[in-house]
Amino acid sequence: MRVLLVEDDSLLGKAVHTGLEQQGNAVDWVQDGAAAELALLTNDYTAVVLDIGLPRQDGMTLLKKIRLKGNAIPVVIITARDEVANRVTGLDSGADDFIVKPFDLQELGARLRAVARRASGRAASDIVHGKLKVDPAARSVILDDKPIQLTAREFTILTFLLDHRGKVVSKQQVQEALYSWSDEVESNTVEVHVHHLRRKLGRDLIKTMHGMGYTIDERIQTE
Amino acid sequence: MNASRPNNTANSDPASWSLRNRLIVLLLLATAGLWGLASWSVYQEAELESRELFDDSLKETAYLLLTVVRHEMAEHGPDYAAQMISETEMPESHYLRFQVWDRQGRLIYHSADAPTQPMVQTDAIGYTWSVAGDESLRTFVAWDTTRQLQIQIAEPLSHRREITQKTLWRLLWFAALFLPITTLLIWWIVTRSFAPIQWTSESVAERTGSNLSDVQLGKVPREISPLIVAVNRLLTRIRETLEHERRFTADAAHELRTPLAAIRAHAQVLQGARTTEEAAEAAQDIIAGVDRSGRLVDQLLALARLDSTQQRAQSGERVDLSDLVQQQVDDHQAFALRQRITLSVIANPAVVSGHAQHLEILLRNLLDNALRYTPAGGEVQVSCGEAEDGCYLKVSDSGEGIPLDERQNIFERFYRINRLGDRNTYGSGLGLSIVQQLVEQHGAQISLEDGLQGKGISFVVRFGKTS
Repeated sequence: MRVLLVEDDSLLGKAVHTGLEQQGNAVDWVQDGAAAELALLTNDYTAVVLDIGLPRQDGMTLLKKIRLKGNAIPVVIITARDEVANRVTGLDSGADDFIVKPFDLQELGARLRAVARRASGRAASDIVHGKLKVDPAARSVILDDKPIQLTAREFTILTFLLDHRGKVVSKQQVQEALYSWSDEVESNTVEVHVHHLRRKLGRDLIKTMHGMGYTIDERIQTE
Repeated sequence: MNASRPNNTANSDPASWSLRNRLIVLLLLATAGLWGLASWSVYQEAELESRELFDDSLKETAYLLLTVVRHEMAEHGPDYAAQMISETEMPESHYLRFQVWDRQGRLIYHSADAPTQPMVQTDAIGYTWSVAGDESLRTFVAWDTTRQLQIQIAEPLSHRREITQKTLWRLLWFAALFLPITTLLIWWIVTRSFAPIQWTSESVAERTGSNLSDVQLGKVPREISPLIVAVNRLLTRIRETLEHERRFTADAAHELRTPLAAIRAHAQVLQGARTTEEAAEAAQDIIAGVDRSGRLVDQLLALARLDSTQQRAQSGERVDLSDLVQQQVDDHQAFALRQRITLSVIANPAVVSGHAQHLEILLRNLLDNALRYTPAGGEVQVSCGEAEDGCYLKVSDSGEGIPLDERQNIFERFYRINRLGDRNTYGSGLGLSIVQQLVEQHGAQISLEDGLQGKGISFVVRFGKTS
């Protein structure tokens, strides 16, 4: 998934950035509230990681601003203050979850997946589509009880399409979910990944809507 | 009363005294004293008045008796007169006694309890004192108009005393009755007057660490309201201090946890490193994080030490700033060279009175800041010397400078300027806070002036003139 990281501290920001990327996410990192607002306007993110101890415009203010604009994007806040009152304020200001410094990167990743899952309307963590079973936490895919090996990019595209079942997703959207700003994207990369996915999972799962993009049908086709 | 309340401690303190009790006692003593004085003078006055009254009545009786005797003698002869008088004894005669003498010194009449010898040996008309046995008598001697008959009439002093003593007793009784009532009245008035003090002190005693709200002024007398105003001012200061401390603790928690979080995250990045470059970089960042934590802890400790040594400073050794400047510039030269910053020095003799080690910390912090915020190719200059109004120490750079609206904030703890070119500088945010504390400790002033090359900033510390 594509994550916006708002963290003013360069050392911590760099670690979280790299760490979340290692877990297969596309991460954009900004260091202040103004940049975060701009990024949210121009890009489509799955979730936001926000350090509420930002200088100048504090994270809580940014969070309230985001919510005031009606943006329901999942937000996990990072706080150094583990007092209950602070967490309550954070959650009441519109955060979906919080994590206290110092934290575990795996836990942060799990919390991000959890808030993203809840936002997409799924209760269970596994995505089941016919004979296809996808576990985002373990990053495993099972088809007809047989494990399938996918690359990180392929996995991201698959979960993205499954999360938007029944809707047509443009190539641009897929690309954005895949890559952060720093990545170099070649124009036909998405096609290549989709091609590989079809070879591994069957031709009929992902449909190409010419001139519009890709889709996975909501109803499951039984043979 | 609830034992946990820190109230009424004044009573248990032997050195303290009660204004209320003192007022009650003093008012009572004053009232009783004045009452005693008034009683004594009333008694004196009464005695004087009664003596005149008794004397007058003695005199009157004497002349009356003399007239009666003369009349009887003229009408019936001397013998009859004696008989008449013995028959017409006046009821008071048990205390009045008299004798009537003729010109030849013969006793013509006398009352039953009067002696046969003259009570006083005198021819003069008037009052005098006589003695009969152990009894003192007020005596009056008078002659009839023709000076044929003399009367001597006497009244025992004890009789008079009896009367005045009755008055005295009545006064004392009244006082005995009056004193408890006065006591009660004084006690009631004083206690009522002290009620505002009582509830003010209770209201102040209610203040705790979590309740530092102002004491309500309400209906307190003019005498107490300045005290309450002062207490409220103190409460405000305590609130501010506590709030400051609370914010500092929260900030310190944030500042300490952030590098820890970074170290932990980098360690995990290292564990999951996809390439050797990524691993090497993560390892490098872990070291940077540990260094940063160490520096932060050092600065926090320095600040804590400064807080505790705040009082004793001022007068210290005589320190030549030029030595200090030279030494610090030498120490930082290598770093400046690596950063490609020109570090220059203009050190003129400037002897100030202060704490050498603290002054060194002050200069080092200013110099660190200047070097950190000056880009490569820039310039940093340290100078010191003596001006007319005292010694100065100046650290100038050609960095980005500090926007006017941020200048008042930079001495706050953990404040960092946002718009920094290079974010990898990792200041603790405490350096200038420490500088300011040291400046205050030395009774000096710090100000911001223009920097070098028409940009940057200068920190100037001015020390007062050394005596």
